[in-house]
Amino acid sequence: MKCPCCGEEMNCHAEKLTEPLNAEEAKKVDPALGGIIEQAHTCPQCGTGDSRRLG
Amino acid sequence: MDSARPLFIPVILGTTRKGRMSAHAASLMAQEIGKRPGLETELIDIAGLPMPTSADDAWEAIRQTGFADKMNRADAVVLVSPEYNHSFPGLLKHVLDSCLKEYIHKAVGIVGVSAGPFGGTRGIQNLVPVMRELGLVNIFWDVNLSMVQDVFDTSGKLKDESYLRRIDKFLKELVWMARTLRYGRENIPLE
Repeated sequence: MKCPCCGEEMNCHAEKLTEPLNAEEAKKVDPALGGIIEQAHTCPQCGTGDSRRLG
Repeated sequence: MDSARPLFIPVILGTTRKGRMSAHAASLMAQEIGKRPGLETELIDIAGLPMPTSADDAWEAIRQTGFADKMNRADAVVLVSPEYNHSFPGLLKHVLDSCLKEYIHKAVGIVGVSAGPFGGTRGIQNLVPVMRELGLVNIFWDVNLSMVQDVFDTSGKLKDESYLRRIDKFLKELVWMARTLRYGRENIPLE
């Protein structure tokens, strides 16, 4: 994942289990985990944080 | 890691009540953070945030004030929370719930405030599991301001300077955790 501020490759440092945000996402819930994984990324160059939801 | 970048540690004043003594505590914390080199801070008063009581966009209204950007930029957060009926203010929870990804792997320290003798400890105990679920990392130091009506004068000046020693320990631990977690966020991949 590229940093939206400086374009540097970001570091994925966490996967957080979260509630689905809507009915569409609820269909994608992995029953073994019980939620939607949100990956947290941080830029090593400028410190900007961003995330992406899997599923 | 760009170690020249200052750590950003905002202070969240977690009550909206009129006459709140916690405002003095939050100002004191921001002042103490601001004295330390390499740290930047900002006092975020939740009373200044929009609090729609309905609508799906209740959290979005808070996020769009810049609160989410500030949490994204933060390396650590100081929460100043009075104790209401053995817990923390519901509006503080409402504000904190407006973000999630912005908190992950960042440090948090809690300042408990009470008019009684326990310094907000019961409110802090209830906040700790919430911090965990938000992805914040608790430090083991708290600041407990008991009998807060006697701690500050009417202008908000600290009357008992012995509190500064505890605040110093609290901030040293918070800064260590913030630096360590920043390094981890930026450099250590999830395997």
